[in-house]
Amino acid sequence: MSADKQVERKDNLTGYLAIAAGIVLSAAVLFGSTGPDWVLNERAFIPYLNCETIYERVFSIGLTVCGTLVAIFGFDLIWLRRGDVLSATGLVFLIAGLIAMNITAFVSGWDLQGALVTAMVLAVLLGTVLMTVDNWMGGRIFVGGISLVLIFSLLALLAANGISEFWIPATYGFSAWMIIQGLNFLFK
Amino acid sequence: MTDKPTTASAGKTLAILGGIICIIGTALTFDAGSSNIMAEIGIPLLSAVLFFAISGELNVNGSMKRGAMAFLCFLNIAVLAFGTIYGTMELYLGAVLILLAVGVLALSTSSGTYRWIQADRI
Repeated sequence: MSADKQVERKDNLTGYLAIAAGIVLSAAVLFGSTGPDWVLNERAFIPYLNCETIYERVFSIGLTVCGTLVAIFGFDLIWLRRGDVLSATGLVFLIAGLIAMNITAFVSGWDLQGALVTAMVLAVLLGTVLMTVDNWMGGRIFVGGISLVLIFSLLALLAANGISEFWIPATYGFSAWMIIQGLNFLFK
Repeated sequence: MTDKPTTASAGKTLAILGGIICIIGTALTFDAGSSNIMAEIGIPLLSAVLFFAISGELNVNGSMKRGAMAFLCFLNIAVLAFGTIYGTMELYLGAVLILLAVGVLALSTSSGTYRWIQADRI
């Protein structure tokens, strides 16, 4: 197999992973939102063993699957070896994915839950900013620009309404962003 | 030097219009009793500065490349989105300015403007 073909296959794999992660996360949130008592906030990120309703279970499993996909996506970005910024982005997404898996699949108590959720959000935010920087450095102005607008909009929501009304736009925004990044990898 | 393309001239005009509307709109909708005066003045003025910067770069003696200009345009849209969501700008004013900023982005990164910037500007 030629080197060009290998690079194309790696890009395609990264793109499919990002699209799948975005679709799984938005589907899990969408299904959870149909639940009468389910609210997406910090307490929604609960371990699978502590789930009581079907909505909590589906969201928990969705987050585990999404975390796994994001972790593989992060590993893939490192594997691409296309610059320091992209590798750093991959490392941050790998950490974010592992934390998401850890919250929902492995942790059964509440001791570390709040700290893990905060660490996951910070890792995702840092990864998004680093990926945006890499997009601009690579001359992908359209994707970089959309990321820039998304980051500013989410920061404005956070500043205006606080953390309580931040989760739903943030998860949908992150899902859309992952899908756009995936399409960018597939069609560049 | 060849003739300036219509897209570059239209982008420059829209950008100047955006900057003027931004300042006048802010002055007309300004709430002096607000407790957040710096944000109410600073964010729209930052957007106006970006509008005027883009219009300046679409002059014959501008020096920015297409990527830098696109960055300024997207930054302007992001700042306007921030101001509108955060509430420092009226919703209708923010919506009009975002539309103008998207128009400026489309015109200043169009292929005609790009060709002119790359080869014919000076």
